[in-house]
This record gives sequence, structure tokens and C-alpha cells, in this order.
Amino acid sequence: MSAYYATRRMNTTSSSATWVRNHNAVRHDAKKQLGPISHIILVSVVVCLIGLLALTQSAKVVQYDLGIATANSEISNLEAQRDALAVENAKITAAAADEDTNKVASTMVDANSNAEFVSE
Amino acid sequence: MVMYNRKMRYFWLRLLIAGMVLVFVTTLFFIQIVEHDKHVRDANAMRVKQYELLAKRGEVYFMDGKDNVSPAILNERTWTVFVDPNFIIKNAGSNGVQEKEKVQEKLIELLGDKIITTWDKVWADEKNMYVEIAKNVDYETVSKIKEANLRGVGRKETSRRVYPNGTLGAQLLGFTNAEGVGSGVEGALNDRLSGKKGMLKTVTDVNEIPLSVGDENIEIPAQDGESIVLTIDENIQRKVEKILKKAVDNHKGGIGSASALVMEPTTGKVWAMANYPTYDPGKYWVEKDPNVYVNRVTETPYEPASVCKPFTYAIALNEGKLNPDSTYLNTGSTKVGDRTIGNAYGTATRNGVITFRKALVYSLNTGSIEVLRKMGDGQNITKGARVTLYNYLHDSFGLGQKTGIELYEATGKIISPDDKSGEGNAVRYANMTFGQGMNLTMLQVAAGFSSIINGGNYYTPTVIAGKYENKKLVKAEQKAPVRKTISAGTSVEMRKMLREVRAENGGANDLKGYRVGVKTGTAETINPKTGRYWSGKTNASALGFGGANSDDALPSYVIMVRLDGETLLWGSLDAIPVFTEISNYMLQYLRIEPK
Repeated sequence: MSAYYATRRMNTTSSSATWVRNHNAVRHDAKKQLGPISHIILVSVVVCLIGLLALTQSAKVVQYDLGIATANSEISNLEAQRDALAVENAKITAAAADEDTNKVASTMVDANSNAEFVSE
Repeated sequence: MVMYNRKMRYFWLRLLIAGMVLVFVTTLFFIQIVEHDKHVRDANAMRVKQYELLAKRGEVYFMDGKDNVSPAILNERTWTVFVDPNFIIKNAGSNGVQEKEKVQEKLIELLGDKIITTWDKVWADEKNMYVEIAKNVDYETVSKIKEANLRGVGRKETSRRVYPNGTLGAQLLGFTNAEGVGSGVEGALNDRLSGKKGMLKTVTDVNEIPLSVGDENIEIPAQDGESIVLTIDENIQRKVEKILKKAVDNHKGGIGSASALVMEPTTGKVWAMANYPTYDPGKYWVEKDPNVYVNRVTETPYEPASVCKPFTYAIALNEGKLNPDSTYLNTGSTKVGDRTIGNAYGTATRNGVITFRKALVYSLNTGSIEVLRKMGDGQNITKGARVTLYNYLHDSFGLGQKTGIELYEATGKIISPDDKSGEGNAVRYANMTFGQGMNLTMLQVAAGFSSIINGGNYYTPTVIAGKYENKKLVKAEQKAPVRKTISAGTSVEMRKMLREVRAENGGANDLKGYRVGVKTGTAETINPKTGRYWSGKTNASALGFGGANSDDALPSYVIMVRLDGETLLWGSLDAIPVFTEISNYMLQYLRIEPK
């Protein structure tokens, strides 16, 4: 990479045109600069990186959605299992009740609670 | 020359790039602007899916005592198992896909007799991608199929209604098809039970798993149906059904069908509503006779006969036209218009001067006709007497009109005295005093009768005790009576008279220390060949109350029994034993202390 050095006095357009003693008298000035294609490539790389970041976040969301779907599926299975057990339980209880139709509900009705309704 | 060539090359290169850019821009313009809507539609068609979110149908519960509930109708998840013959045949032996014979063998082992097709049919068409193998497969079996990991075998979730008590309360609970058309509670309360479907519109992945990345996702949650608790007490219902079955079986073909209703007269709550023969609503499709689906308590009006005499007496008492201890001359028959109406067989020994109180005890038709005459000029069945009877029966006691219960019910019919065809004449009204000449449902009669013996308050009968939410019973508000039918004093007198009837009609079989009242009825039916009343087949009924342990206390229950005869049945012989057995059970069940 080639470069050249110039005295500050040579740069008459600089804001620091005024020469001051004991200050550096030279500055680095690159001879070659980035061209338009390089700019495009750099911008493209930055855009790609940003896109990749966005995609990563989006993928994370999808991953969570898949997790939710799996959890829902497990809930659904457990609910199905619970329903099946509840039905079996009800069937067995009903069969037992059928054997004992003379069961007396101890708290059904208080015999003396039949107060007459008074209409106005 | 070199400079010229370089310039030309730059020119062509720029032109080429410009051309390419132009092509890109033009294409993008077409895709993004001109054909924008089409591409959005295509994209959405591929990735956006719309699902119907099914509402869970509400369950139905019986009461089990005062505060407990027990399940009457539950939901059970089931699965339809299907195979993809095209996939299995094409991929057999690769990627874990088993040979069709092995798939078949495993499914036979797991599903057994649940398989609804033949394997020849399954494999007949290699292009076929969906063949149902079994329906209503339970959770346990479908889990085993899932574990077997049979590729090319799928399962689709469905749901079915389960009646854990089998036939208990079959006509009351009923059933419904996919369109919500059905019978019983299932049909009549379908709107409350079915809830509202929801909707999910969402972006999905290739496996159709919903993703939340779309900006137009819509989710309207389903609203589950209401779980309803019925006033029907499981224990009473079960006992009543057993008693009806025993009555029908013991009669050896004489009773075609039997029905019974037990209700609380002071609230209108129905505790039992039973019919026999019955069926299993969980397998309703196997029943060959659709008549068995009908709840005869609410849907089949009939002529209840003498169980309606208490209405006639109560009306006359309430109007101040009858002194029960006054007398009339009973000659065994009486002439009304061009007809002679007689008493029932076996009552000739009661001929002579008799009190109205005794006329009710012996169920004399001449007595109730005489009561109607008293409502007019004392000699004839006047228009005024007919209007009074009609107004009470129809408007106050609610006979011949729907009661408002939360079930399917028939209207029945009472002919108005103003009927233009002249059908509301004296002869019809004479018949109506003893429950013929009008078509009524058991529920109408029992609800009206409840008001006669409960102090004169008419309650709309109900089968809804409340809702079942978060595993708790949320009781419905107790409704006040909708109208006054008779005075409290008339009600007291009617209870007394009906207890006197009971004393002569099976009262000896009551548990000691209780006050039970009853009235029986034997109705002639219409001969289908002649269109006239005949005694070849009769319907027997019994309508009564019990549970009070003092004269002042209100009865705890009302029972109505109806037996439709294939032969000659009698209320006092055939219906009374059924009434007695139910009544004695109720006295014990309600734990009423005797006095």
C-alpha cells in the first residue's frame, strides 16, 4: 500500500491552516480510496448481517411456536386421558348405584322445611 | 484505437448492466405492483390456514341428594383410524414403512372387532390415500397405535357423548345428531349445550403447525357449551324406573308402556321422569321402534280420566258452589243433552243419596257432573258453568297448554265453550269433569294438581337445577309461583278429601304415620277401527301426594303414574300398586319423620 506524507502548510484549505510551532507538521493521507463496488459490497454485507439477525429472531419465534404446539399436544393427550378415566369412573359408580337403589340421601330435604308460599 | 475499444467495451457493459437492471426492475414492478394481489393470494393459500375451533359440548348432570351431582352425559374423545394404501404400497420396505401385510396384522391385533371394513377393500385401490379402518376408538387403543409407529396409518380426533348410567333417564336425556336435531334434554337444550365455535386464521409451517409470525393472524376462541345440572335425582329416577319395569314385566303383556313423574309441589322441580320400555341413548341407532324415544310424560297427551276429578271439585269449592258434605241422588247414570253418562263398573252398590265427599272417594262420574251443574244454575250444565270450568282448567291450572318446562312438550287440547264448531257443548264438558274429552300431558296434570295441594300456587315445572362450573354446582334461582289458582283454604279441604280417597284406595299399604292422598283414573281409549270409545284397552293412572306429617304441613312430593294398556287396566288395581311403591320409597328417601 503506497502513501505519501504532506506538510500542513501545503493544505491551504484545512481549518488548521495556521502553522503552529512544535506541532506535527505532517499527516497521513491514503492515496487509494474505496470505490463504488466496494461500497456496494460492504453495504450488502451489512444488510445481509442485519437480515441474518432478523432471521435468527424470527427463527426463535418459530421455535417457540413449535414448543407451544408440542406442549398443547401433550395437554390435549393428558386431557383425553383424563376424560377417558372420568368416563370409566362414572360408569363404575353408576353400576354400583344401580345395585343399591334404596340408598337414602341423608341431606336431601328437611321434612319440616316446607313453608307455605304466601302470595300477595 | 485502444482507447476507442475500451470506451466501446465500457459502453456495451453499461448498456448490458442497464438492460439487466431494467429487466429486473420491470419484473419486480410486475410482481410487486401489477400482480401484487395475485401473488399475495398464492402465498397466503400456501402458508395461511384457517381452522374452526370446536366448542366443547356442555355436560349434563343429575342431582344426587340435596347438594351433590352425578354425571348423566359426558364427553369422551375418540379417534377415527385410517390408512393411506397409496403411501404404504409405494414405500413398503424403505424409510421405516412396513409391508402392508405387517401393517394389517398389527392393526388387527390392536383394533380387533372395531375394524369396520374388509382388508380386501382397503388394498383394492392402490391410488387410494384415505380408507377409514375404525371409528370411535378409545384413548388406550389409539395410544398403542401411536406407539406402534406405523407409517401410513393416521388418526383423526372426534368426540362422542357417553351415558355412564346406560338407559337411566333415556327419554328425558335424549340424544342429538351432528345438526343438533334430537330429543330430550340434548335436543331441547342444544343451544345452551353446544356453545359457539371459534376460528383460527394463522400462518403455518410445512407441518401445518400454527406460527405467530404472521401480521394478519386472527384467533377467536371457542365458547364451550354450558354444563347443566338437572333437578332429576339420580336415586329417585333409578328407583322409579325399576318399579315401572317390574310393573310391566309382571303384567305379562297387559301393559304396553308405563310412565311416571315425581315432582316437588312447592317448587315445580321434577325429581323423576321415567318411561318404560326404554332404550340406551348411547346406542340409539340400534333401536328399531322410534316410539321408544318419546318422553310420554311431556310429549304424548292422553285422556287422563278420573285423576282430573280433583280439579272439578277444587274449582267448585273455590267458587263457593260446593259443600262437600252436601248430598245428591246417585242413580248410577245421568242424562246430559241426548246422552246418558254412567258411572264406572262396580259402583252400582253406591247408588242412592250420597255426599259429594263420598262421590269423590268412589269416583262417581255422576258426582262430578252434578258438581258442574252446581257451578251453573244447579239443574243444567249452563254456558256460565262451562266458561268457569274452562277458565280454571285452561287459564289457571294450565291444562291444554305448554307448561314452559325446558323440554319438548305437546300442547294438548281443551275445547273452549265458545268453540265455533259447537264441540264445547254440555256433553263434552260433562265428560271433562272426569277427565275425558280433553287431551292433556302428564306434566300438565301433575303441575296443575301440585297447585291444588300446595296452597294454590302454580309453579312452572322445571328440570334445571343450575349449572356445573369449576366442578361446583351453581344453583339456579328459585322461581316464585306464576299465579294463584285456588285459595289456601280450598287447598286444605282438597288435601283432606284426597286423603279420604287414599284411605279407600290402598291407604293400608302406606308406611304408618304419614298422610298420603291420591286419585286414580281409568280412561277408555278410542278404538282405531270404529273411532269410538271402547273398553278393550284402557289407560290406568294414579295421581297423588305425600310426605306431610301433619294436616297443616304441605306435601313433599307429587307422583303421577300412567299405564297404557294392551288390555283392560284399572287405575285402582294396576296403577295404585306402582304409586304406593314409589310413594313409600319417597317417604324413606326424604327421611320424613312419621307422626
